[in-house]
Amino acid sequence: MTPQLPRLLRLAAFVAVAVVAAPLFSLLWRIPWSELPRLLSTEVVVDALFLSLVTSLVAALLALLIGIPIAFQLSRMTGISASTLRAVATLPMVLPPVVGGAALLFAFGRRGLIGETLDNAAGLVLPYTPAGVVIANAFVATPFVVLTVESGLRALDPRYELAAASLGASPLRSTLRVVLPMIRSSIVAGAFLAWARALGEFGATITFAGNVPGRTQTLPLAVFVAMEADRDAALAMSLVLVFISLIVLVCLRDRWWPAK
Amino acid sequence: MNDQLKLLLEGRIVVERGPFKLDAEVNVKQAEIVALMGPNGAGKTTLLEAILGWLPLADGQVLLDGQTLEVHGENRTVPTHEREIGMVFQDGLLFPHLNVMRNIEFGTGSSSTHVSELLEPLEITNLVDRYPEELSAGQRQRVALARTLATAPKLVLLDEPLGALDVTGRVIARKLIGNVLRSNGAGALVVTHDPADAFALADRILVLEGGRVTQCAPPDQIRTRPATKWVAELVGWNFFEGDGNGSLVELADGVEIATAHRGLDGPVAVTINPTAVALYTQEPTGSPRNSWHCHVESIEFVADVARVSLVGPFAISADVTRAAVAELGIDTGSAVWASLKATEVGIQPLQG
Amino acid sequence: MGQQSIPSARSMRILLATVTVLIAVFLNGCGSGSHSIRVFAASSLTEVVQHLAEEYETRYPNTDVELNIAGSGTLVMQLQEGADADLVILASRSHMDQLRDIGLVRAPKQIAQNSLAVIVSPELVKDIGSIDDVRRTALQIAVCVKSSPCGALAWAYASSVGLDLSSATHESNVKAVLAKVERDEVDVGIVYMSDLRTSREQLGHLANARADQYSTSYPLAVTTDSKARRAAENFAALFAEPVGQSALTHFGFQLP
Repeated sequence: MTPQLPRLLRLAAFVAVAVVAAPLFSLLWRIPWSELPRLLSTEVVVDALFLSLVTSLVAALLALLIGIPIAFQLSRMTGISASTLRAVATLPMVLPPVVGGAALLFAFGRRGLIGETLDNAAGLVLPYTPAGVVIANAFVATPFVVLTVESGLRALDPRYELAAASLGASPLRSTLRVVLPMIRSSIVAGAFLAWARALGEFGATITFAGNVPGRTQTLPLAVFVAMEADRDAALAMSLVLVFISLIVLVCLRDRWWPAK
Repeated sequence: MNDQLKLLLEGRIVVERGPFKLDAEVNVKQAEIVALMGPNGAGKTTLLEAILGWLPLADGQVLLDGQTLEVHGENRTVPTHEREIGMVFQDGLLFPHLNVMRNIEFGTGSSSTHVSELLEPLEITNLVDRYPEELSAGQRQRVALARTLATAPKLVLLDEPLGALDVTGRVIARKLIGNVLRSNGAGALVVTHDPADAFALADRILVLEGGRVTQCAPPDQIRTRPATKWVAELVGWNFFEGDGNGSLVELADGVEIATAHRGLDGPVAVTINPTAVALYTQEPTGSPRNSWHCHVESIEFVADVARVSLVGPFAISADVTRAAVAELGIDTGSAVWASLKATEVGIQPLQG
Repeated sequence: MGQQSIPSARSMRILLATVTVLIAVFLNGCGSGSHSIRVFAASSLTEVVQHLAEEYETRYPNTDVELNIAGSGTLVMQLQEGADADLVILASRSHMDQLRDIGLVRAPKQIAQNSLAVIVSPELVKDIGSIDDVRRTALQIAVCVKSSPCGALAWAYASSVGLDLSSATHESNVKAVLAKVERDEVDVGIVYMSDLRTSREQLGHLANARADQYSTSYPLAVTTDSKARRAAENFAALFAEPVGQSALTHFGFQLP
């Protein structure tokens, strides 16, 4: 049997849970339940929901593509260089998203360092396009992949790679056939967290990709606009976001960080 | 083992890890099984990892089957996965996400005929669909060996292959592994801490202490002529260091031991088989030159043999039969006379 | 995962003490101001209300002016949700009507008018000279969200000249539209004349686009539950004085 918590701590926990849950309950309390089907079937909401799902899923894949190599590199480093690279790679997680969006603008915007070249060379413009939404989402979501995958890699006994090599497997084959499958749960956890983060992304998206209905207006942006125009629609969309996020977190259970 | 057999592995392995330095010559002949023994921290696993190319050499070279794998200071190092050296780990280290068959086939192209020949002798035919977590430690170890042998390596390294097994599992696995290694014909280097494993499996035993090879000899010679105190304790022999003078050796605590050798001069090691030490309750008549008045410190019984530890002018152990203990009526604290023929005293140069 | 540094008890105590001092200073600072009024103003009025707030604080040194500047839609939402304000100035009559209908304000007064302007980013000034150029070329346009006063005007204007806004980005207030055009993040924006006047960039203005026929008026009202009614009325009075009138015209507004 697990030892009982001190009464004071239990009381504190109860209060804390109440504080966290109160806004959520208030949101649910304000939702016009009978109007939901009509509110959620308007063109703006359907467009935003579809766009959100597509861009957040692509962004999660992109985050895996960027985050996994970074995690591998990090897992082989130690000391100050590891701390520095880890700090840089996870900065978007703690940075205000609007700052991230501004940074993206300076990089990939039409007059940005890279964006100007892209525009001149290929006529490729990212802001105000769904691709821009994906970039903004992936930017803030990648740190989740980096952290979960790196901790999975560090928990993995390096002798498995020696075992694979001694069986004739090249480093590439060893990575693909042994290391990646063995850290699968870390990768899955990272992907889900990245997806959930991308789905809720607001600041970087509106700063970098703008707010074009049907093209870059994701669900959180639609909620933001509707808060002033159509409160009930905003609440209905909020409910969708809360619902999806809850499902993701419940499915992850205790897999936030992979078990050692 | 036949000395004319060609050398399979020839290596001088120098690895530096902080203050620890490994500097060892290691040779394995074709189809030879060499046991690698030594106290904890002697560098046994480091040696294996260096042979595999997992650790860079600080000096020396590794040759396998006449082919140069690595020479310190030269760039053309053969990477681990191209060395054709297999490794079996203490805990098996099977890939947990693959079933037994896929584990065994991991390193093979698709030569399933070869694989099926391995399953029977290792008694794992009916386990092929299971996953590693569903296997016992002994089963895992046999699958790990099959996985390594399936790649047909020229040399097999085994790191404490029996270490994770209980006593009965050890005996079975030791026999199976020995048979399979013998019939496989590849060379093998087996790290073990159990002299029983080494004596049962090995053609030769290589002893590594503090990063250096202190003895390398067939098991019989290890048993009868231990070169260091650690080896002596391993095989249960008495081992003393002293100063040779003619046919006498004077130990540090002043005891003089008479030997059948002549012309001794300077530091030597003395080895004495405990079965050669005879015990008497009275001072032996005819006064053999090696006899000392001692007290019994402890008596341990293993099967029919009693190991009697004695203290007196110096500490020495004697192996006598259980019946002899009863006959002499000795117990802890009893006073006895220990005597030893000069011909039973082994003399070796002292290791530096 | 690497070495983890555990803060010592000593450094934790120093941190706690610092935080305590900061909180004390903060609370003290907030409490010390003798009076203050809170003015909610539409973002197009930014420069005007900032100017008048300085004027007000010179005249009434004991009263602080707290400005809350946002799009009219945002301000209405904040007030509907119970935000405290003494004075409200919005960029459209219909937004103010929403507040009057629920009793938050009474008898709004009109203080200024503003009309639309179609502006072009500095990079494109030479290439885009008329609304026809905008219609012909696939340009990135920025407008205010439909629910805001400038958004409502912009949409009305766009439909009258057949301008397609389907791929325009919807910004939450007019200053955001202006900033995007100024920084060349978008090509064309629909803002107020006052924004064009206050901009420091060399923006293009499509004067022949006849957007100035679309205008909005700025109603002002003291809130019904203001606790600083007198001070709020003093601030409101500034708009009718020469200082207010000249500020409005200087920043590009028309007087009613």
